[in-house]
Amino acid sequence: MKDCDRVNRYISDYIEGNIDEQTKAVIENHLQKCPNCGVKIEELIKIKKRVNALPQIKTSPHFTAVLHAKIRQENKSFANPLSLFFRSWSLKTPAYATIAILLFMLGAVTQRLVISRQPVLSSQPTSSTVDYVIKYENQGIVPGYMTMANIDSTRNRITIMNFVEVDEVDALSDAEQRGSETTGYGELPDLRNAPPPRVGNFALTAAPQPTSTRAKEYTF
Amino acid sequence: MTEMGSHNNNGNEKTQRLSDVSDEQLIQRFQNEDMRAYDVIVNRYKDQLLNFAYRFLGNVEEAEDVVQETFLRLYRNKHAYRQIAKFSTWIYTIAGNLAKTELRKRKRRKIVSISDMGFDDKEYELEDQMADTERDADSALTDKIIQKAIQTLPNRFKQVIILRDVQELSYEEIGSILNIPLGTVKSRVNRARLKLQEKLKDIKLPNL
Repeated sequence: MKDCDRVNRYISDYIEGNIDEQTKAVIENHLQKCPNCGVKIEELIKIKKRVNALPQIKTSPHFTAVLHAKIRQENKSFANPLSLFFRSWSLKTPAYATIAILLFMLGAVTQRLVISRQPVLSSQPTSSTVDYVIKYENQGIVPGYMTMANIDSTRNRITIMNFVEVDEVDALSDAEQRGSETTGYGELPDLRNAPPPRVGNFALTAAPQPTSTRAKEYTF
Repeated sequence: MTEMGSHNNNGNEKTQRLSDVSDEQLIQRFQNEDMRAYDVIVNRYKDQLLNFAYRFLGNVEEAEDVVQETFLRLYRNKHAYRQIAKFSTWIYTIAGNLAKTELRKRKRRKIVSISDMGFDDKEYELEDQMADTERDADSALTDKIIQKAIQTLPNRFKQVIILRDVQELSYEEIGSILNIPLGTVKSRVNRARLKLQEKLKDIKLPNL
């Protein structure tokens, strides 16, 4: 019994091979005489392997977008609106800018855009701009992409804030959970008669003319 | 690994592969307002922290919230990190504390909503599941039972089992995360494994 206790005390060190020779010899000597302890060690090794082999899960596809949105909301509450996040994540970041613009133009040429209002996460400073989620309806061409956009209706200026792969249903669900107004489309600026919006330093001169008259859908 | 600043001009620094930079160098860059470094850190740790939180909480949504909050804390408190600690242990400490807070909140919710029987981790549920398996669980069910058994461990055991046997961190790293001496980590891991074995004693585990 005393030796069984000793095995218990050093069982992890023993199965990990992290034990001095003398203690190891005592344990192995005991195992010759005690089948119960032998079974116990075998079972523990099995459990350890099973625990280590538990399936790994991955964060949801919109994890980073949601995180960025939260950070952006935090930054909005700062006194200086041109805070760190905007400086680093606006279209000055070449890779994001390129991807965002290409996607935007691809979507503009080939697909119908649905622009829905991005939820307000916290109190907003006085501003003429509104955040939107731009989704591409034709998933066959651009599967499940979402672009966060900030639309300045007074200056006809669109700033793409981020670009991620996202599950549409999840994105909408996120928006609803955070209290977005599903009936808030009426506040959308009418881009149909506006000059081509500018994205950062790049003018989207190829922005197609709309054909839809529905309030919440714009066909470019 | 790419040596930071080895080509010593801004143009080259922009094109440097951040994915090759060490955690500690990344956080240093982030402390100098480089948001790209922050993004690399997020990508590097989001999944492993999610698995850590998930094994701790047993709920994917709550686990993801914990990881989100962990990165928000990192964003807000980047200057709190000092190079004396490994970054990985620092971020795990934040996530672990938030996961424990989440568990405490869950307990409070239980007190408020005592009739909500669909959301708890009482030990009897594990017993019921064990009976259903008729002692010969298939792989997926075995995973579920093991997860449930881990969840029903006391927090101090749960943490070390996850960090050691799921995440395969060293005893030294676990000691840093939990702020306990190496000897305590080892004895706690040992006791946690025995406790888990006791909970799973009626399950016939298939060989891997």
